[in-house]
Amino acid sequence: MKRWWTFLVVLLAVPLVFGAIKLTLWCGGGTERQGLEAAIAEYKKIRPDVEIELIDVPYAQFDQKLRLAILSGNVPDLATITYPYAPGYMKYMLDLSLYVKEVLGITPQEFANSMYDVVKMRVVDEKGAIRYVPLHFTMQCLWVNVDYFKKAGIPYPPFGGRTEPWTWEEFMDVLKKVKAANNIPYALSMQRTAERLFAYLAIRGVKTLDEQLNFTLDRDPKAKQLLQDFVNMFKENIMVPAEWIAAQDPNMAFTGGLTAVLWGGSWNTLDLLKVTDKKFAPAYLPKDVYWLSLEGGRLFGAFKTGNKTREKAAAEFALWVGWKGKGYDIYLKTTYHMSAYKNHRVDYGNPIVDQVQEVCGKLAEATPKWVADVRNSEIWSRLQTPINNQMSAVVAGQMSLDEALKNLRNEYERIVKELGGKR
Amino acid sequence: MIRKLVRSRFLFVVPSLIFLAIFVLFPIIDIFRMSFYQWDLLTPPMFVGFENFRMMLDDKWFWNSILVSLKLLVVSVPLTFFVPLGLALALYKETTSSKILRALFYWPYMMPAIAGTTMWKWILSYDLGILNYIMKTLGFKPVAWLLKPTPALVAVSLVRLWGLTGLLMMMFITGLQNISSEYYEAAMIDGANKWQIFWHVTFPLLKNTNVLVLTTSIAHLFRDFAVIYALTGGGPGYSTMVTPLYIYNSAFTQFRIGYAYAMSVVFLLISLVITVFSIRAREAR
Repeated sequence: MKRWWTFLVVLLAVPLVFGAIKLTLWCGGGTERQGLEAAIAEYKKIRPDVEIELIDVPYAQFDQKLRLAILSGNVPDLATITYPYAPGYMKYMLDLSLYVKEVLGITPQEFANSMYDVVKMRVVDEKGAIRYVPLHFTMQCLWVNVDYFKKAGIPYPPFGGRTEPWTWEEFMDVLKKVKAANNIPYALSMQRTAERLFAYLAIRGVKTLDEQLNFTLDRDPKAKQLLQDFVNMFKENIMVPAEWIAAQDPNMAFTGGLTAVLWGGSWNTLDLLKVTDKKFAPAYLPKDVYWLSLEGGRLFGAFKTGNKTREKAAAEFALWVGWKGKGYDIYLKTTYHMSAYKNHRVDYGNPIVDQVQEVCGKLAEATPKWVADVRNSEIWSRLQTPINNQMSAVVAGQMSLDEALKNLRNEYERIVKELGGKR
Repeated sequence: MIRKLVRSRFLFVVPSLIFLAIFVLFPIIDIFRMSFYQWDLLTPPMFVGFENFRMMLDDKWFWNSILVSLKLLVVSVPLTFFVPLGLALALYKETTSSKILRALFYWPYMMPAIAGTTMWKWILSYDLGILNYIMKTLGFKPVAWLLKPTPALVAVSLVRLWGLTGLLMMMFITGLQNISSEYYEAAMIDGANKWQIFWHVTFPLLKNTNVLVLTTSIAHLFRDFAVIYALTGGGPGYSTMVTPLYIYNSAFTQFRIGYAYAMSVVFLLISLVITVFSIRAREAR
């Protein structure tokens, strides 16, 4: 009888001692999932004792589900986090700097310094703890329809016969000429997002929020003029009204040949490469008062779960998948996203992706620090939807610009009040 | 006591009552409670008294959303009542073709709303949609379906109709099939024509079905979110921003959870009043 008991105890204990460490990972599905699957398959060869379960959470529900998970105390071990929401979750994430030396053999400082500055400031908190690793890093850039530009005989920067970026005035002139030469209904496609508007205004020297996070659009006379110029681009059929009024996907008009330029970014690469009957190439954003681009994408981090074994395994995987030359390269090659690390060349085996990396890398280096500073705030993350809605109403002709700016001022003040300060 | 309970059949209702209490009653009570809090889902809720309701009074977009919901009620509910009724009258007899057509009309209701609506968004696109392409080919001007307030409201109503017709038509068909043929025979003997038969026999005998369809249509409208979210996102501007979508945006893009609860309370009360009024008006006929 006693032997049976011993056998039973051993039988139960074996899986506990030698069983795999099971981690759950929340990701946004699509190419992100494909990239992570490829990286996990490779990781499994190095760490067969770690099992990672991937769970798709649709983008639209990601933030609310994560908040509810935190609220219920049932967080995943690992999760991808969208840039605007990253500041809010920092306090729930493990400090990865405790594991950097052991896993990567470098100091946390070296790890952080190897990233572009605009990424570094997103992953390191105010106390110097590393809360995230970069997963896919994106930068806004232009995409041009190569055939349309050829037909118009207009060079584009930097791989289309011109090295320097266009000034804003030159850019407008180019759009009008390409539109006329190809007899297309519009010239420029742009998704309805506050981020695009922020970039447009910033390039032309207007800050939506200043460095102290004050809302300045309604107090800067130049801002109103530039916003009016923006609205006029729709009236003059330079831009596609349906994209800002009805949130039509800008890829539709651009890949459908209705526009010659897409104000998109590195994230468009995979989709645009799938189009076989047209040739697209990345190009610099215009340079006016400032030359800049806006970073975005997903960060990756390990949650504090209270289970030390799982926390350690999660931190190790996060650092492995987020570090150049390790899982990160597998992820990037699968998803065609660009690297967040300076001087990190990834062999994508595709010349267009190499061009994207070069264009966006240059823009990442050129972007002034205030751009990332301002956008790394909770105020900006919450002001984006009101800006989308108000500007959409102005473009639709349902509201005057003055009224929209007044509404945005009220919204800004309400957000500051709710947050208990400017942060 | 137990025997008495069993005999009264109350015991058999208990599981359903427990289910209703847990998943319906308590959440509704909690909506009322949480409407007095400020909460962003991350920090602990903070009691703010009537502050959320006070803010609501000043929130012109909330009142605009109520107005949009009412406009949609006026446009959409009659459509989702009479079109399914017409189809049911045409298809309630059991023939092979009517069975095939019923299945075809029911099919959109079985489609995920987001998928079906996304398809419609492509169809209705001003520059790239097939509908405008056909119109241009036939020599008509393209319609800015989703770019102007009134066409957008019409488009929302039509897409809702497309999604709901099958369900409501089946309700009417069930009602029609339950009407005894003796009533029709008696009316025909009395010399009634088709319209008189419909108006004086069929329609009154469908009274219960009418109330059911009307309530279902209003309830669908007041909680409809996916169609407008995917088709217009509340635009152009705020012209199709119905209250459920505005509440969703407040809760999950601005994380004003307490405020969203407060708006839900007010909207729930308005919806109740409208539903009771509609049913009473229908029953009074």
